[in-house]
Amino acid sequence: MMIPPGRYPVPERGLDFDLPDGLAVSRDPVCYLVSGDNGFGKTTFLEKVVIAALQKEGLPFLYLGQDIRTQLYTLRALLSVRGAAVSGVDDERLVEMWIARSGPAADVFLLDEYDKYLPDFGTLFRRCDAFIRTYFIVSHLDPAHIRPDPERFRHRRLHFELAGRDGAVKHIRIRQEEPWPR
Amino acid sequence: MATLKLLLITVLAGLFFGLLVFGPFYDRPVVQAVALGGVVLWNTLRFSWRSTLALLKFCLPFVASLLVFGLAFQFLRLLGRDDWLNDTLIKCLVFPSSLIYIKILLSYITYLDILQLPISMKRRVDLITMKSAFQRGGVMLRRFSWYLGTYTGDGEERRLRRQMKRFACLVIALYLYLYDEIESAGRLLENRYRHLGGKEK
Repeated sequence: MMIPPGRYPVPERGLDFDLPDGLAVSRDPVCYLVSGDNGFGKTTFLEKVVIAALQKEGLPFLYLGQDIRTQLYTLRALLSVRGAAVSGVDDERLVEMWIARSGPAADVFLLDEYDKYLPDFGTLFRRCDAFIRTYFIVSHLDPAHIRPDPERFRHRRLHFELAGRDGAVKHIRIRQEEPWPR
Repeated sequence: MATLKLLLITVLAGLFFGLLVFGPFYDRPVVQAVALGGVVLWNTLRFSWRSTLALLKFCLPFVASLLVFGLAFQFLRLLGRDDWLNDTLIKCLVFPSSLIYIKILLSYITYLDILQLPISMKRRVDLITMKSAFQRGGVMLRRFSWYLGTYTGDGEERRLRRQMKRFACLVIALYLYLYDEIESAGRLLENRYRHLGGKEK
């Protein structure tokens, strides 16, 4: 699947994204490290553009949102409806159980500032090693600490920057680049 | 003033339920349809069309399951009755209209009204906590629903079954949230109140 280059307006959030280079979601392992200032629509882009495209294509994915505390209620409900014993299970274990059950069907994993909640992604990456081919990781931290295996995954940085304003609408350019010199 | 306002709201709620849900107009589909139209309009004017649509969407699975059972009972002529469909249609109108009506009435009760009520502080804290949790619950419902839409299905499930499970998840998530929210908000309010030197009255 390819999210083609172009403009992606999200008027209800006052954002207009300019994506000069397309985003490939394929079997080739790639990790997109999403960065940029607060308010530039990183979450909106993931939810309204990337996830919408994945859903349209019917590509299974995992998404851990920035409001993980809210999401956890749905994960607990989902797992209990699917027959898992979730009573007394702590939040971290709950996420692990969800990944173990739903993960193998997924190719793409989107993590939105999940490092605020779990600073070490090592275990998470190891658990997903067998099935995830594409990561989208939003973080304000140094991406070198939260990247999957650099030998296996090609890393790309998606940097959100303000290109201009049109009234209340922010025009955001999404620059794609190497995250660090090779 | 607050007591009077709450009294009026209680009377309005009593009138609605007394006349339309348990009273003489219950089995009149035309009256029920007009009542539903009225509360839909009222909700749209008080909040927004989007909020009304979200409420109706929330009611949809309940209404759909009522219809399915109603049709099945009618088809089987359960208990020898042949009025199942008529009864179901009425329930399909009554359920959303009473839900929306109660929501609108409750929205007129402010935190200040609760504080002015001649009841113990503990009861006031309970009421404020409930109001705050249920208000936030409405907002959370949309987010829960969105998250549930991002989860992959459980194998080769049929669409209807998947939808029913998703709805069950939504209700459970909302219940868990409200339980947590009521507990923590209650604790917080209690703590603040005691910190300010408040005593149980």
